[in-house]
Amino acid sequence: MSIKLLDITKSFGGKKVLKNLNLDFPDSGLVCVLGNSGSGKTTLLRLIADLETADYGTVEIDAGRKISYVFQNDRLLPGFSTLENVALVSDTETAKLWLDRFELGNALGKKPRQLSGGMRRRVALARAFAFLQPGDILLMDEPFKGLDAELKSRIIPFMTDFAKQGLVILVTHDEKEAALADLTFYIDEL
Amino acid sequence: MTNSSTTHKDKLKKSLLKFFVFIFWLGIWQVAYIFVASELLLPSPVHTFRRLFELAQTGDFWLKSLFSLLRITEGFGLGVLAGILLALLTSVFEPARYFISPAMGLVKSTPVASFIILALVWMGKGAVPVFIAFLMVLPVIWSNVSEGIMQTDKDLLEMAKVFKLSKSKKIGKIYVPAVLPYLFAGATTSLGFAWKAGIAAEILSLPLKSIGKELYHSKIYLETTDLFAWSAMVILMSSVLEKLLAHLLNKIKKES
Repeated sequence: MSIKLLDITKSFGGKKVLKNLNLDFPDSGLVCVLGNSGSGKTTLLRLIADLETADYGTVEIDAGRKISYVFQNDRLLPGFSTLENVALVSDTETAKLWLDRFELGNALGKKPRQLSGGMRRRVALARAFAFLQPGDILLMDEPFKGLDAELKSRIIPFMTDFAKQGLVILVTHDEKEAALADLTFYIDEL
Repeated sequence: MTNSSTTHKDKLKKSLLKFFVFIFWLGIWQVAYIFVASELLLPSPVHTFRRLFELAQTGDFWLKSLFSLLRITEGFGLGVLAGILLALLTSVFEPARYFISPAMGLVKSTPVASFIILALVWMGKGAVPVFIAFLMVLPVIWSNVSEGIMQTDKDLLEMAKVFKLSKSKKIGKIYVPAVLPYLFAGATTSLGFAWKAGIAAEILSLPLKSIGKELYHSKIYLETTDLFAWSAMVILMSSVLEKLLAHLLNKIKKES
């Protein structure tokens, strides 16, 4: 197992968000996490990414596997160009390649404020993919929010392709996206 | 009408307005002079600018102005540097904030004159204006830079953690752009403080070749026209310095 959550409990301000959670993720594949809002889906991703510490329990991750993350918000550096934002986490050639794949080849020099919401989302996606190596782990928190259906259909194959050689954990509300999963966890029922 | 011609027209309007405001206040000054009718109490604007022009013919005038400028900019520069370093220290090492914070509060609330007199006891007269300008700048820069560091976008810092950005990338691409506006605001505000307090320190410490000493002599010998002429020079230098700083900071902002 690549990621193991053992008896995880996490509270915020006295409210338990995750309680005695045990989960085993496979080495590769697309794993979808479903649940109502406030059920702790984002907290789950943040615990895996080491952005939160559990109150109880442990998170075990295979050594040597990098974690990449598509956050719910874009988190781009406002003063830097599209290319600089992606090249921040990879070499320039890889950054250009992914920006090209996400149809942003003609917006390399533009800063986030000059881009539409959908374009910024794609820059965030390109950054997450540019950081990855085969075998790594990709966390995606509602990654296609704000993208039109046609664009989404062109981007989703990159996610499913990566799931053949690494692990993708996808948090979504979209049933069509969830239908692509190899494995689905319903967090409300945990 | 194009945007550029509108902007040009707006600029012209603003400049004209500024000019008329200047003329208006000169007029008020002239009326007050006629009303007071005593050169000793209130010299006329014409006499003041004539005297300033006369003084400006001498090399000594420029030398004294230059020395004052050097002292105050030295204190300002040291204050900015120390303020940044101290803010870094108190941001990285939180307990240091508890020690530094009351000291900064004390510096801010103590009358400048008290520090000037203390400094006269502690150090040579040439160093007093440098030290006083430094003291005026230090707490402002410290609190502004500390605030900038605290306000740095937490989401971006998390992004940096996930993508394992190096310390230099984190500092250069996240912290510096976040802190720069706070630093610039602090520098612009404190420059005026440094200049005014620095000249006051010169008046009390009387270093050789200084505007402060000339202001003091004008007072002793009741040369009110000289007092006004030197004061006009102080105002002129202060506004030139502020404009230069604003220009420099704008350039840095555009490049970063």
